[in-house]
Amino acid sequence: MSSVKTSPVGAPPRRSKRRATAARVGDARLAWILIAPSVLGFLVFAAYPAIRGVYLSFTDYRVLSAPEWVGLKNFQELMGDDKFWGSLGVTIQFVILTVALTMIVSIASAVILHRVTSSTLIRSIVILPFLISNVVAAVVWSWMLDRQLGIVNIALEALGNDSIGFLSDRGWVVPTLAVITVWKTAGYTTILVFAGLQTIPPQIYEAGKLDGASEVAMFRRLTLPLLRPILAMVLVLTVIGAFQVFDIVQVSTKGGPANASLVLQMYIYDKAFGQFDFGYASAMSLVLFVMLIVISFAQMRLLRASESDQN
Amino acid sequence: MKARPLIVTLVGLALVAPLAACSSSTSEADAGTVSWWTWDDKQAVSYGKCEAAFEDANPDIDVQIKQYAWDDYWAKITAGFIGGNAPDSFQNHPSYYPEFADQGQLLELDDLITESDFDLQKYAIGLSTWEEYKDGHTYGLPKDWSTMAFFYNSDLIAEAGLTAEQLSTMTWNPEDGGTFEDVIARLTVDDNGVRGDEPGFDAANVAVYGMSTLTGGGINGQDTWGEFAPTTGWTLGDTPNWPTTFQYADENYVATAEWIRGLVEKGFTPGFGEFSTGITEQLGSGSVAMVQGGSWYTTTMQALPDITVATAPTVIGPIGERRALSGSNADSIWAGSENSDAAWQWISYMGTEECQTLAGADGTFFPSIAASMDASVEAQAAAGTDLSAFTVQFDDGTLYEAPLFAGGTEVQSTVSPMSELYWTLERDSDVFAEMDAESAQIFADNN
Amino acid sequence: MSVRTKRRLPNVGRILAIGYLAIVVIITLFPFYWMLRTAFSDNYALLGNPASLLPVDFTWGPFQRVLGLQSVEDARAEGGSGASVELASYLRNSIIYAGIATFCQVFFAALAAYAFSRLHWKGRDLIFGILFTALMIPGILTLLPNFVLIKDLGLLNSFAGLILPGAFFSAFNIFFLRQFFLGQSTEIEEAAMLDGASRLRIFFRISLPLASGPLTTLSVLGFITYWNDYFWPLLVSSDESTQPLTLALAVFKQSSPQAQPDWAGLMAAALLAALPMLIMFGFFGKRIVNSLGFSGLK
Repeated sequence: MSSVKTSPVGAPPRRSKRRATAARVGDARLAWILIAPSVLGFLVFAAYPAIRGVYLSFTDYRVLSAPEWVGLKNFQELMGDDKFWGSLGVTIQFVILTVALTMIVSIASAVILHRVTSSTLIRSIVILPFLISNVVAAVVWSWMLDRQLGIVNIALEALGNDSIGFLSDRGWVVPTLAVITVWKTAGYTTILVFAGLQTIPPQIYEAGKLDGASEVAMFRRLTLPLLRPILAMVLVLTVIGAFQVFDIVQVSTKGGPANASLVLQMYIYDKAFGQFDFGYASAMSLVLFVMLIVISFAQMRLLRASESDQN
Repeated sequence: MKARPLIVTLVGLALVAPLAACSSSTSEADAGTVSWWTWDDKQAVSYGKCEAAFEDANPDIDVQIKQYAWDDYWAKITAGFIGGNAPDSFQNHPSYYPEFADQGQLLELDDLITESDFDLQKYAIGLSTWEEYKDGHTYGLPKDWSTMAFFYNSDLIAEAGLTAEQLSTMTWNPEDGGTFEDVIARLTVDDNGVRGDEPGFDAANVAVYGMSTLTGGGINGQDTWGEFAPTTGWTLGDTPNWPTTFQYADENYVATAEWIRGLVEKGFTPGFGEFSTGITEQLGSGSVAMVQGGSWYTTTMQALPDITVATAPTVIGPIGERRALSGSNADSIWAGSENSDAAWQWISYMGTEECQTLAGADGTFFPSIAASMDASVEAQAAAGTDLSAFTVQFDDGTLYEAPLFAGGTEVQSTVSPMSELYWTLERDSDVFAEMDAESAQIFADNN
Repeated sequence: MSVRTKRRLPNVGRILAIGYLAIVVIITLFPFYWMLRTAFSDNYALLGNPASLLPVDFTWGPFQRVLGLQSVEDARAEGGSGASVELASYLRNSIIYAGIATFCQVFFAALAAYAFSRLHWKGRDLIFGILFTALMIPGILTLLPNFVLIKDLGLLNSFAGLILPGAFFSAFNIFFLRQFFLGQSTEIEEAAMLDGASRLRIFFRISLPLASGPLTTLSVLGFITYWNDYFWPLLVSSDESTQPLTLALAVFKQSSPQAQPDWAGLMAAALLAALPMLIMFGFFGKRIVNSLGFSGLK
């Protein structure tokens, strides 16, 4: 396949300003035409519903009758809602575990795939979990982790240990859900990181070896910095995705035991479709939305992800 | 070549193409078509038999039966209310119907009932829930019922030296557990083969539990304590319908709950969450000798290979009687249906003895009409299924329905997790008063 | 394909690495084996032996059920529901839905990504930033309004209704492709421009073909996502003229909180549903995996 042309490491940044202003005016017109469908789609199917959602969060909307303006009431209630704060805590715990585990596994797998073996078979295996639906994945893992009849616990007991309530014990449930989520998604992020690694010219490693650097040192000093932009992108996307987890939890624990795994999306969904309290659900969604924006932009800022544009 | 016309055409095409790809959407409200939805796939097939007879008698009406799995069912119905394409008629459930009625989505059936001389009283079960909503109107035709019983492994009870007779007449009280506790103690076997009522029994290493867990069960303990606590005279709400509060803090309930915790400590039942698989797996795998389950499990239990499953009615409590929770589903008509008359004809036909007997013979549900129920029992007996453990409750009049209350789903999602804290041993019985307070608050807010 | 010299790790490191990979492969594959085992088991027999490593009471029944080849009695006897699954229609619907939606999504994103990276115009970065925030909008916020909109447009139970919301705009695709274009060298394009070719021509003749790798990637990933899409079709479709495969397979889901699901059928259905994508991935796999190398680098 066509290889991407890249300038060697250390070359001066390519400045787009170099291009003449000849096509500027035409650029603008053409640009607007090109982005027209996307902007249209954005406005109609993303911006409008989001704005409507924001409006709804200031109303009491029972779905089957018209919304009634109540100002900040939903948000005030939200502040005092223990269940909301609890679910926020659960979600944050879940996000931290999932993202940490995903990044570690992805980077480790990708690096090993890059430096030790280049088997396409293994790369294909690694992405398999992505191909089945979340629901099915959750079902299968729930069976395997059942305290009494699950194969994992049976193996544990055969080895002389006690069985563990992976999905029924308050302390275990969130880490277990994180592991299931990582199982499902790590393959995909591994491939992304792996591809990023492939664009690093091998000469660097040769040079490093000649200088006597160890693999680990080379990883730290060479690989990581070069990978920063792609790692930043993966991190941002993983965090956003983890905050919105729903299917896997809904199917395996339904938020239990005793709300120990009630992630935010589940509480929102329950309020909206279970209790038909759409105003309140919208208020919670708004809070989540704002949080995600702040976190994502902070991450990008911190990791200087967009610097790649200028390099 | 000039790019512009090309662009315009391209973008224009791309915009229009998806629209053109739309297939014709058939309107559900074609004259003469009545849709009826259910969540029960087996009932969908059973009532399909009535459909043929009905369409013969009413050639101008075409009935379309559709089934969606439970979770999707309610999402689809709600979306249908909003989107204006809800089914003409559908199977309704007590936990959703108050909300739908309050929102004006259900058609009032009163006039239709009087006009067509429909005898509502022929239904033995379900009237207290469906006959009259708090606004005095009828919104559903209660056509079936279901209840709980014990399913047990006949081989294991024979090995334990027990008889079917003993299992069918178990008594219970919250102090010493009555003959019920004696039975399950006998049935429990630890890893060393020692039974629960023998010395040296090791509660920490149980191989076979005598009984499936009685913990949990949500707010009404349908498959757990819901057949025990009420036999002390206790009721969940302070009134049969529209309670002002739940009564978990009542001494009878507390005594029951504490006794159940005791069973777990003694090793006779598994604890909360120990099995995430259902009672059929628990019984079928030999991990548990006896389970308490609903009548809808009958066919599955019978089909378990390698074990013989028999049934026994629930326990007789301190008041000298049994108490078993009965579910009750009804058919409702959507207020926005364009074919409400035809829909009425369909659901009233489903409620006739003729249809109930025909569909009920499959044993996928229990008809609420006594005569149809008898026919159903006979049909099932001929097929080798004994329903007496369930019907004895029907005959003795010991069934009770869950109270109707406002804010159903909110109460559920608030109070149920609190009860779980009790069963996981994180909280003690002081949590019950809090649960009552929460319920009272929600009821007050919604009334 | 980049050429690499294999580095010889010290033996310990190498063994650890291989060990790690082995564990990853086992953990990844074991649940699939579990699905396979279940899909070949009889439901009731499964109840008696839930943790068996081999299929319990081996049967082809579940696969037959999914393909609509089993009679109602046989299905009931094995714990299935006997409801019929018209596979052909659902398959066709899935292909149309996923196919058209993916194509539209990727194509429009490519146009926009090019504009956001290669062209220079006022407000470019600001608008991109706004579009980017769409990634963070919680799904539930847009779900009902979109549903009501589609209904108002009269597009319920139509492919247009299914496809429209996602087809025009995909923040992720635009982001992805923009990163790619940013990393592309502009030499060829500049040369072409000097030759007098118009921007558009350059885009279609040069830039787009060069982006075939990422485009393929996004298409495959997008197709998989649409193939597995469940909730939106659930709301919008109401019959077999538009219902995709995922909904048809809901037949195997738990029909009520107390009912016994057809586990074996569900597993068979899930495996069969994943099959087209497995094949596709196998076919495009090498290409995708190698083509992902561009994002954010140079």
